Amino acid sequence: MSRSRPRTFSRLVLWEIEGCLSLPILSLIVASAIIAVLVQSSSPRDFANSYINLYDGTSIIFLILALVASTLFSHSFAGNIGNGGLKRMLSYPVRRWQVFLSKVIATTLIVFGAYASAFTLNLYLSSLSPLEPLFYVSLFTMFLHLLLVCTVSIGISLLTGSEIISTMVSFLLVLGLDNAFDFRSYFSSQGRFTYIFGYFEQLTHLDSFFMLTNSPVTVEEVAISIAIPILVTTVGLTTAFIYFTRKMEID
Amino acid sequence: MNTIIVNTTNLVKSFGKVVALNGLNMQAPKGISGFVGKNGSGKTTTIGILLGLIKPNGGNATVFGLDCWQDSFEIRRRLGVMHEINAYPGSFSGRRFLEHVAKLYGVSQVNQTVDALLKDVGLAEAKDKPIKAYSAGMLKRLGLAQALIGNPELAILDEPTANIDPLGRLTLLDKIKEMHNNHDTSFLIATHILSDLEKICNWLIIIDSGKIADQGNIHNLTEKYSASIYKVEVSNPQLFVAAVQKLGAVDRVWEENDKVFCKVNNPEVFCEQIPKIVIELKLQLKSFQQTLGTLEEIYTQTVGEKRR
Repeated sequence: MSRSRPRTFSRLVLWEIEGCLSLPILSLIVASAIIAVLVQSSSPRDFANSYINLYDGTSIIFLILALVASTLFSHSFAGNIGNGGLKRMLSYPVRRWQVFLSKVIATTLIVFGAYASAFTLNLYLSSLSPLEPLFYVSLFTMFLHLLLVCTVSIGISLLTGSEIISTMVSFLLVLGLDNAFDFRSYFSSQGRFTYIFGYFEQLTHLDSFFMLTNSPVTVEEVAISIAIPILVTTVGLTTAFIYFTRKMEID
Repeated sequence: MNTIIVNTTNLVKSFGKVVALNGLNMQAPKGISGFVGKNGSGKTTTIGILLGLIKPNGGNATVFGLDCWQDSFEIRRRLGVMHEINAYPGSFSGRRFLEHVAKLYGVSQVNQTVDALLKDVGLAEAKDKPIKAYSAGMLKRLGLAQALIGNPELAILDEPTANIDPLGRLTLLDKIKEMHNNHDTSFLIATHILSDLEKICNWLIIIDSGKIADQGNIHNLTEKYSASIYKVEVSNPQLFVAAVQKLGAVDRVWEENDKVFCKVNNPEVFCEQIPKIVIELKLQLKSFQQTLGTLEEIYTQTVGEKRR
């Protein structure tokens, strides 16, 4: 039996994606994404300002996204630790960093893919141009929120090794933060979205922008809104990565 | 003895206050090795260390002469593993799952290899069924197939015959023997079913409380332990046991199904004394012989369990 040089990392990513796609939960993810977008778009505006539909109701999207993402990331990490799948996987000729990153990338792609696809319904529902910059700004903010949930879920998964606990704690933690801080705080997903959306709205819709905050959004405010999730993700994922690749024992 | 491929020296591993391995010195040569021990004796921890999944607190573990923690990737390229828990992706078909595993091992002719393996382990007809529809026996056979992908030099099997029917067990054992004979694959088999090992193993490792109780060629071990055990059938076993217990040549005496078993430390003295005791107690001697050793007897003696 001859052997060739395996492209292990890409194969692992594809394996993870295929695994996620064949999960029964995938249909639930897609359905939740569509429902979230439809709920969001239920308050029509006049055509000139219909871009503001992208802002309205995003708290529902962030909420459902947090639930779905924490479920899927917890399944991918804690679930695999609990059912022995990770032990089996790490017994193959793969490196730990490859397993870690393949799980992160595959799960992020699946969740973000589902939500981004559903979010594009907005272009049709709100009669927006595909080139509407705030559409991409909204997607970017959604991605930042996803990274944050991903980090929290992976961290708790590695600490507890329990899928149910990880799903519940991750979701409640994100939900708790969103509830504890109002829509103008950097610590709530809606608050960060408000600053980012508001700032780019000022830049792109000078003639007809809605004032989402009491005063115009400054560069500092938008920078902090972007920096917080990126910083948390960088520190959290790096710590989880080091622990997973150097220290973690799979018993 | 063949080349040693698995070697541990003073291996120590604790989980909190629980000592799982306490100075394990284990050697497994090329061939088929049995790895036996009670639940919690440290078998799975040892396998975890050999695969680089668990870091030992002390000592040294090597496979193919490579350090198990530092060079675990190189080691895993050359071995296959079947874990006790069947954690396979249920939504995949058996064939699709094996294709993924084959690609990780860099097998170039994936389709042919997977088809041949599925046929070998008797899963050819079920290859397109989702794994979640497989029976316990089919899962074990799938586990064996994924452990044998890429013709590994060593396959580590943790409880390969647990929870499967007798026919399935025999098929699996035949497959293991066949792989060893045809492809020179070595096996390290951790199991509780000693009769399975008896059929295929040529090396036995007995672990007890995180230490090696004994290890060696299975024939040598059988001779070693059989030579010291005698089975005596007399008309009044209780009376005989009471008398034999007083002999200095006897380490241990026990009664089983009206037969008396004696573990002796000096066979010559023991054989001289038995006729004297029988005459003195006016017993009828029905039979007197050395026992034929089985793995179960070797195991029982090494881990020191009472057979009563």
